[in-house]
Amino acid sequence: MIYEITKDITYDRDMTPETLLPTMEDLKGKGARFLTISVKDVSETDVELMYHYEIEDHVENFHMVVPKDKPIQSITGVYIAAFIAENEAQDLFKVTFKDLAVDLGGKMLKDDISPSTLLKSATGSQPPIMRKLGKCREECPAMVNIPKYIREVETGDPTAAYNTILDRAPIPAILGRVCFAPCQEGCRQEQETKPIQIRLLKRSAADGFKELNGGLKRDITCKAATGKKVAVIGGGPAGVGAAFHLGLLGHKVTLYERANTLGGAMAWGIPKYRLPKDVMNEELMARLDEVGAEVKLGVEVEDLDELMNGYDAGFLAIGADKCNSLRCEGEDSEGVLNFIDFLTAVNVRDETPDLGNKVIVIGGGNSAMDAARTAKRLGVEDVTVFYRRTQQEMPASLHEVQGAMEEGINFDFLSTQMKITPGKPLKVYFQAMVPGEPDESGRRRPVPVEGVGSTVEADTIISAIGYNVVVPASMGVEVDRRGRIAASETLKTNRDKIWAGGDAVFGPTSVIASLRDARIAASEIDKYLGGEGLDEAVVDLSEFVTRQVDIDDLMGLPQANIPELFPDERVTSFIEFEQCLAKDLAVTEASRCWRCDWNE
Amino acid sequence: MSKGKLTTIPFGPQHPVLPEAVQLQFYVDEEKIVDVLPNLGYIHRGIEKAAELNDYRRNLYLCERICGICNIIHGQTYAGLIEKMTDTEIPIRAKYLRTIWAEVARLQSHLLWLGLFGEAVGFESLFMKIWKDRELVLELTEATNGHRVHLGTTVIGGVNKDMDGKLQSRYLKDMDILTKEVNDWADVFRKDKSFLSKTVGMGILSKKDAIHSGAVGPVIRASGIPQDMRNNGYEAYGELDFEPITYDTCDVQGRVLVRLDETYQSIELIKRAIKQLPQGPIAVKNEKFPDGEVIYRTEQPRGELFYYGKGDGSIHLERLRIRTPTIPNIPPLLGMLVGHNVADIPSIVHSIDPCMSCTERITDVKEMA
Repeated sequence: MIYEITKDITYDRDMTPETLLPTMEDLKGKGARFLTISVKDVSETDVELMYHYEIEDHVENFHMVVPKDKPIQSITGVYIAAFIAENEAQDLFKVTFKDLAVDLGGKMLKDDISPSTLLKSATGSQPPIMRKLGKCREECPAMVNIPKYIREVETGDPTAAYNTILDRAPIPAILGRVCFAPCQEGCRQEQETKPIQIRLLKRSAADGFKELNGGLKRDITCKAATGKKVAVIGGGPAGVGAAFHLGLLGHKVTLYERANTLGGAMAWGIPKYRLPKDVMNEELMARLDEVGAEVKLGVEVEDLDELMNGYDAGFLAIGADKCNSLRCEGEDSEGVLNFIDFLTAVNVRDETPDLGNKVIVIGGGNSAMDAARTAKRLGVEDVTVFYRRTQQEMPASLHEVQGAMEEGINFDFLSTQMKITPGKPLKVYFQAMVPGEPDESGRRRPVPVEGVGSTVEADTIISAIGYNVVVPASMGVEVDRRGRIAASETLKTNRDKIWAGGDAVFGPTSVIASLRDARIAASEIDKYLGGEGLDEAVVDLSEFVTRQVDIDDLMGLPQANIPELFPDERVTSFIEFEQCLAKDLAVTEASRCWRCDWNE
Repeated sequence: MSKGKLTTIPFGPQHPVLPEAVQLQFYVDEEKIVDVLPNLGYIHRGIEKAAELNDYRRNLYLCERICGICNIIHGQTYAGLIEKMTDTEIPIRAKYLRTIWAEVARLQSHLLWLGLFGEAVGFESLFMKIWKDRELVLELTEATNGHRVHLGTTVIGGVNKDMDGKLQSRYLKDMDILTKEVNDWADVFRKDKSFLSKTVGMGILSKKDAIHSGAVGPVIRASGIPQDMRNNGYEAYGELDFEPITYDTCDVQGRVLVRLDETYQSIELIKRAIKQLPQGPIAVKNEKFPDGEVIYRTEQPRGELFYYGKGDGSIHLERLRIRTPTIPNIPPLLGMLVGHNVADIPSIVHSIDPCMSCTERITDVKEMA
């Protein structure tokens, strides 16, 4: 057998893209052995492809000139051996091959920025049974499937994301504005001080859903009617959430609310500049309408026994609305308000109380921030927050405090009110404090400095040092030593057929914690009524995660900023000052997720 | 089959068994290999492009640095390509010397591979024994060429080092010593029971698949096809009268035996060439610039080496295309692995003798160009 070395090669056949594959088939039929493909630039726009074959004892060459911008037919369907040469040509000559059997996508040759391995994108998918919870989900009281909806926002599917959130927290649009987002504190990127802005992504999903569907109401089907009737007492997040879940399970729900508006603490306690009331009402009504729940506003339940005659089960979510006392001399003086009365007047009744020019807010929580910022928006020039510990120990969220400071609200730390002298203006004596030993909450206990203090004048004093639960005796349920409803782990009270949840059981907490109670109670009530309860599965068995991200690629991406109006724009009115993330920013932000739910 | 239920095992680019920068991704169903994906390109440096920018004479040194083991053959192939393009006929003594050194390179490469393969299947003392014998060959190259690995004795138009009578007799003597040493351990590859259990019936490549998937070198010869580029009679091979070694077992054992027998064959060819070495000059002057299109193919230890060159009569080549033998052996390898167990991966992967720095042309052209 003699093999020739070819000199001044002649092309045995000029091919065109149309005759390429038939030629290759023909060669394969003759038993030709593929040698390689040589590629050469012939002009800016064209390349020449030379196919070299060995037939018996000599080399045969075929060539064609093709434009670079059109995909070239791959011959790997006939000669699989050509895949390396074709991938190499893709890398070196910026051409593309179609129907390439093993397509490395122009990434065969590695450079400085190539991933060290292509393994991650080639691993296929991970069975959901292997999924972890993810740090964010562990922190969320309602266990919303956060990693999943972040992925759905990333793929630009707000409807799917909205439904994912709804499964455990039925009011995404409201949460997207007011949730204090414990998930973001759990986010592993918190350590780099740039956690994913999960709350903004939730709002982006909700606003995106509304834009797509023209409203927040969905078209859903509930389970077949069971014929059972359930009374829900209280129209706050816990009450509405429970009514929604129970309605989904096929029960006939009637919701009683004492006030003339739904929302409970969300209605009176959260200022309009943070949660516009039309958004709140629309979403709450959307959920209740979806499941056909009956709503009775302005009805105060006076006798639970009498009410329960017509129902098979009841859920008490009466909330907490008793303000804590200032516990200082002269706290009943005229001009001293509690923040619940003050915020209710402004938020619910749209009143404009006359506060004078100088207002003191006492307290360091989010409600103190709300009261102070509301007062500022009512036109008060000088608003000062007094707090007995330091800024580090404030229960209010950092973002709220920073926002208040930007709006020109003054802060005075380490001061405790001792005595209020009635009159116009009011005079308050504040005792100076120093941080002492840590107490049971881990924060340093303030210790008075004897003989040091100051007297401050004010037109109005707003006390915002927390609030608590008062359960009317007519309810007939057992209460614990703090006056809260005593409930078991399944939220069952000592009374037959009655469950309880929300602030009335756990004291003032948060919207998201109330939604957890709503779901647990609804599930328990359903089981009591003969149903199977709600799905307790934590991991979504229908979702296959298709790739693991490369964390190194994500490290450089910046955290999305919260889009807000400027402080001088926002203090003049109650307009909602926080804006929704732009769609592309939301996708970028969602793409930063490290997918901690992936089981490595 | 859905890949969702399979386990993925990355093999390389850093792996104790395979000191070559290539990654194979194995999809395994328990122990069985279901699919393999290659991931190449870790050490690409763009030598083909550099060859277009260099003076065509400097390319010789660039090409010699494509591979460590068979650098002399790369140099000879490039020189042969240019000699064809410039119609240069080199002296007959230079042809013989090139042939001797090419066979020495094949000899040490096969010894290296036999040792590495022994280690890969668990025969560590065999590895040490064979590499000790390989030292004999390397010392011989050092005596002739002045270097152990990078020889650099090829020039366009011939060679730049000659071999005197004393050196020739040393060659003959050392080849005899080497034959005895190889006889010592050759039977391990032929008869050892635990060795055969790792090679016989492993990595089957049928005759038909060998042609269609484009296999070269010992891989295709172990599938019964006498494909050997030395048959085309380049250099002095036409005058040395030999037959390509083939086996038709189509498995890993066949590839081992082809290389083992080629070790003996190379010794024989070296001895024959030394004895026949004609007198005369060792180089002619090359006056012309390369012109025209030429395909030049030679036989490396790993198989057929393919050079395509196009010149336009200037000092630069218009295009130089190099296809080293590991590239065509990768597609057959992927087919060989499917259906075997994870534990068989080392012996099957080694059976093609992968050389990734050849494949991807390792030399850093920033330094060269």
